[in-house]
Amino acid sequence: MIRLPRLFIAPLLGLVALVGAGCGRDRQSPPVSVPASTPQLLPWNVQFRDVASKLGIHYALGHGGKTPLTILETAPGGCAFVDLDQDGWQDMILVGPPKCAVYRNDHGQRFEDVTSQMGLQLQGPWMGCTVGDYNGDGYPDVLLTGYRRTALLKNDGGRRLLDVTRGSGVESSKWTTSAAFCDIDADGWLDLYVGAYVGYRIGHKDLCRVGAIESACGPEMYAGEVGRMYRNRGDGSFEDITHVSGLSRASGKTWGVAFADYDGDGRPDLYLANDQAPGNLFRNLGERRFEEQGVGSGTAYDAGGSVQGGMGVDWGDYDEDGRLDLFVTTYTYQVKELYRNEGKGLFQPVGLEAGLAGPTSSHVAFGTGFIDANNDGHLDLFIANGHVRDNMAKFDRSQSYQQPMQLLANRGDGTFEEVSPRAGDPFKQRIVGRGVAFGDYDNDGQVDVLVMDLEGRARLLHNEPVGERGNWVSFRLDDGRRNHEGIGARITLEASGRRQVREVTRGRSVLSASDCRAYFGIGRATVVDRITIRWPDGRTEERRHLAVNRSHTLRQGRGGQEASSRSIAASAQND
Amino acid sequence: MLKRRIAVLALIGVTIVAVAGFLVWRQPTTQNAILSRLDVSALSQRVASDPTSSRAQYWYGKRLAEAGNLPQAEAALRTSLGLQPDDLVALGELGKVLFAETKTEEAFQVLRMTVGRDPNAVEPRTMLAALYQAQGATQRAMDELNVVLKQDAHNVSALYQLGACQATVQQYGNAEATFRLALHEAPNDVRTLVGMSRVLRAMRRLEEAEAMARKAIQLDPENVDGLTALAQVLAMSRPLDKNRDEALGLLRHARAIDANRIDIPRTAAEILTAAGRWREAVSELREVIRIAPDSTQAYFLLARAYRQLGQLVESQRAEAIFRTCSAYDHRVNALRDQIAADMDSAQLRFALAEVHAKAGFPERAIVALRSGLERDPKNVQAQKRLAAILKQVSQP
Repeated sequence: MIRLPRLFIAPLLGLVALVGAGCGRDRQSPPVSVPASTPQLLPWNVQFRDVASKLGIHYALGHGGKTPLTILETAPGGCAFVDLDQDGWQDMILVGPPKCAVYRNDHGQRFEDVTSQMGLQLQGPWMGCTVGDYNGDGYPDVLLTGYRRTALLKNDGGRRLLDVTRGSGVESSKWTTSAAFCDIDADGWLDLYVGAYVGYRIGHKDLCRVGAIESACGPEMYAGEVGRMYRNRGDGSFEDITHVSGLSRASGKTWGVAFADYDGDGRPDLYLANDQAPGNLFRNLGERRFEEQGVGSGTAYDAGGSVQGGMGVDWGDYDEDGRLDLFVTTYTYQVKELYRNEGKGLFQPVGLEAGLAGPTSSHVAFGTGFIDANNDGHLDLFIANGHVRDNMAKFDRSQSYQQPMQLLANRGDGTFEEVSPRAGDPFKQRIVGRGVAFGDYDNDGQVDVLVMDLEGRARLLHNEPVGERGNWVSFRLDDGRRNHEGIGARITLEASGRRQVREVTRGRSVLSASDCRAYFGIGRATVVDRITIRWPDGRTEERRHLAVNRSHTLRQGRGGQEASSRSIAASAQND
Repeated sequence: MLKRRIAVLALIGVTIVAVAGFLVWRQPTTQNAILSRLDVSALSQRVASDPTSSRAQYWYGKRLAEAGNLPQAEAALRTSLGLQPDDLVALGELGKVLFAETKTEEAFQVLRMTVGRDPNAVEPRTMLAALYQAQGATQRAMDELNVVLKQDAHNVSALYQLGACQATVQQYGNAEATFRLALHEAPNDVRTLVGMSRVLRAMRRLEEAEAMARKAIQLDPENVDGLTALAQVLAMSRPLDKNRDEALGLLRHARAIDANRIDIPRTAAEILTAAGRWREAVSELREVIRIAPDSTQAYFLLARAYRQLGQLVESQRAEAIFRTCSAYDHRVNALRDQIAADMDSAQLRFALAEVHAKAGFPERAIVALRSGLERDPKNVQAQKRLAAILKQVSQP
C-alpha cells in the first residue's frame, strides 16, 4: 500500500472575503437565475461555406507526404482574427512552420497577403499566436509562440509588426503553445500567460516504435514544461512572475490557455488544458497571486478522475445560469468534457449528460469554442479535430489522421445535438484540425470561423443563415485608457426575459486568438432591454434599450454612451 | 514330441509377448497414456512407489494443479524436471502453475525458457503474453500473441487476449475485429462477449455494447464481468435516470456474487457521482478504498463528493491522499510508457523500482529491480539496492 501522510492537515480552504476586494471593485455578483421563459429556439438554419480561396487566402501547411512525423511536426498551427489597422474589419494572422502570414481584410470582400509589407518575415517552427494591445496604444499587438521561441510583435499603427522580443522579457527557450493576454491585477495593462508543452529536443526520441510501426512519441515520453506568467510593467517590458504568482505549480504540458472570472469575484482566473497531465484551474486571489483549484473544483480530471489529453479550452455560460462553464477538448476516446459551473468553486463534469460523449469521443480534438452559430441565444460548440499521429490508421483501423470538424447545437435544455451533417460542406471534409479562431470577418452579425489544417490550406468558414436568421448584437469595449479592447470585461445582456453573459477575451480555443468583440445572438428579440458591463477595474455601467443587429462600440466612463455603432445594413451593402 | 515342441514355442511366444508388452509399457507414450488416466490419489501412490518416474511426477503435478493445490503441484513438477530437465511439457506446465501462483518473475523465466526451447509451444506463449500484459508491456504481449495466432489462427484464448490487449492500448477498431474472429470460432464465449461489449462502449456504440453484454449474461447469469459491463453501458445510455437505476440494480446483484470486486463499487460510485447522489457515492467510495486502499480515483471522487456535501475537512483529507497517490501513479505510468517503448532498458526499470520503493511498495520495487537486473546483471548498484530491499521486507 502506498505510504500516506500521517497527518492530513491540509489548510482550510481560504474563503476569500468578498468584501474589501478593492476600492471600486464589485462584490461577487449573485448568480443570475435561469429565466422561466421558454427558450427561443430557432430551427437549425445555418450553413457554413469555405470562402478562403475565393477571398484570396492561399496559406497552407503540410509535410508533402513525409511520414512518420514527429510530435513537433504534428503540433502546429494557430490563427487569429485581429483588426490590425483598426479600420473596423477583421484581418487575420496565420501561424505555422515554416512561416507566418498576415492577410488584410478589404471590407469583407477580399483578403490581401500583406505579410511582407507588415514586416513579418519570421521563419521557423512557429506554433500559434495570441493578440493584445500590451502597450495601450490602441493597436492590437501579437505574440507568436513556437518551438523554443516566442516573438513579441508590436503593431506600429497598423502599418507594420515590429519584432520587439529582445529585451521585452518574454523571450523563451521553451516549446511554447497557447498564450493569452489579460489584466490580472486591474492596473490597466495587459499581462500575459504563455503556455509551454514538453522538453522535446529535435533528434532525441523523435519517433517511438510500437510493435513494427514507428510513429510520433506521445507527451509521456518527454518531461513536461511549465508556462510563464508575465506582468506587464507598463513600459513595454514584462516581468516573469511565475513563481511569486503561484503559477509555477502548473502541471505543465499545456495546450490550451483561457482566462475567465469563473467565481464572479471580479478577478480573472486561469484555466490550463494540459496534455496527459491534470488540468489546472488557477483562482486569482488578487495581488498577482493564484491558488491552484483544479482538483478541488473538479476540473483537473475527467468525470472518473482520469487524466485527460487536454487540448483546447473555452469558457461560456451554456446553461444561462450566469456562471461561466468550461469546455475542454481532449484526446481520442476521451469525453470532450463540459464542466458545469455549480458555484462555490465547484464544477460538475457533464459531457455525458450533455450528449457530447457520443459524437465527439472518437476524435482528437484541438481548436474549439462556444459560439452562437445561429444567433438563437444559446451557445453552441465548434470543434476542429485531427489526430497527432499521421500514420494512425496503421495502428488502428478505426482511426485516421484526418478527421471531420464538428458543430454541436445547444438545444437549450442543457444538452447538445450534433448538427455537422446539416452545417455545410466543410463539415463533410476531413482535415487535420488545429487552431481555430472566431470572428465576424464581414460584419454581418454571424460569427465566422477560421480553421488551421495541418495538412492543407487554412479554411475560412463563412456563416450563412438559411431562412430565418436570429437577431444579434455585438459589443466592442474600450476602457478609454490602456485596455482598448476591454479584455476581461463582463457583459450581462437582458432581452426578452433572458439573460446572457459573456466575457471579453481573445485567448480561447488553442494556439489562436479570436475577434475581441462580444457577440450575442438574441433570437427573435427585437430590442436589448439592458446590458450591464463590469469593466476590468471593477466598475460597472449599464445601458438600456439598445438597437439590435448592430455592433456597438462602448467606452468606459461615458455613462454608457456609445462611441459608435455599425449596423447590419452597413455590411449588407458590401454583400 | 510335437506337444513338447508346441509347448516350448508357446512359452517362447508368451515370453516374447510379455517382454514386448513390458517394453511397450516402458515406452513413454504408453506410460503417459496410462498415467494420464489416473487420478490424484492413484498418482500419489505411483510417485511413492516409483519416485524416479519423471512422467508420474509430471502427471501428479498436473493433476494437483487442476485440483487447485498449486504449491504441491509446483513441487511435483520441479521434481519431474529434476529427473528430466529437457521435458518441455513439464516446463510449460510449471510455468502455468507459477503463473497461477502469481510468482510472476519465476513464471516469466520458466515460460520464456519454454518458448525459447520450443517456439511452437502455444499455451506457454499465450501465458507469457498474459504476463507481459499484466506488467503493462502490452505491445510485447501482442507480439507474442501474434506468434501464437500464426501457428494457430483459431486459438480462441489467444484471440480473446489479443483483443483485450488492443483494447488496452485503445486500438478499438482492431480489438473489435479480433473479438469478432474469436466469436466466429466460439459464438458463446462469455469473456469475449464481455470484452466486445467494453470495446463497443468505448467507441460509444452503446446499443451494440448493450446487446453483447446482455447475451453474455444470458449465457452466464452469474458472470460478474458481464453484469458490470452491462451496468457500465447502461450508465451511459439514455434515458440516463432510468438506465442508471437498472445499472445500480445489476451492480447490487454482482456484489451479492462477489463482494470483493473493486470494479463493482467503483462503477456504482461513478454512476452516483454523475447523478449527484453524493451520500450514496461516499458509501461506495469507502467500499472501493476498503478493497484497494491505494485507489487513486476513489480519493479523487471522494474529495469531490465531500466537497459537494459541504464536508470540507474530509474533502481536503481525501484530496491530500489523492495528490500523493496521483503523483505516484503519474511517475509510474510515465516510466511504464517509456519502458514499453524501450523494452531493453535496465535503467528505466531501476528508476521505476526507486519510485515504487519511495512510495512504500517494496514488492513492486523488487520485481522492477529483478527485471532490470535481467537486462543488466552486472549492475552492482542495483544488486545492492535489491539486497537492501529484500532485507527490509524480510524483517518483521
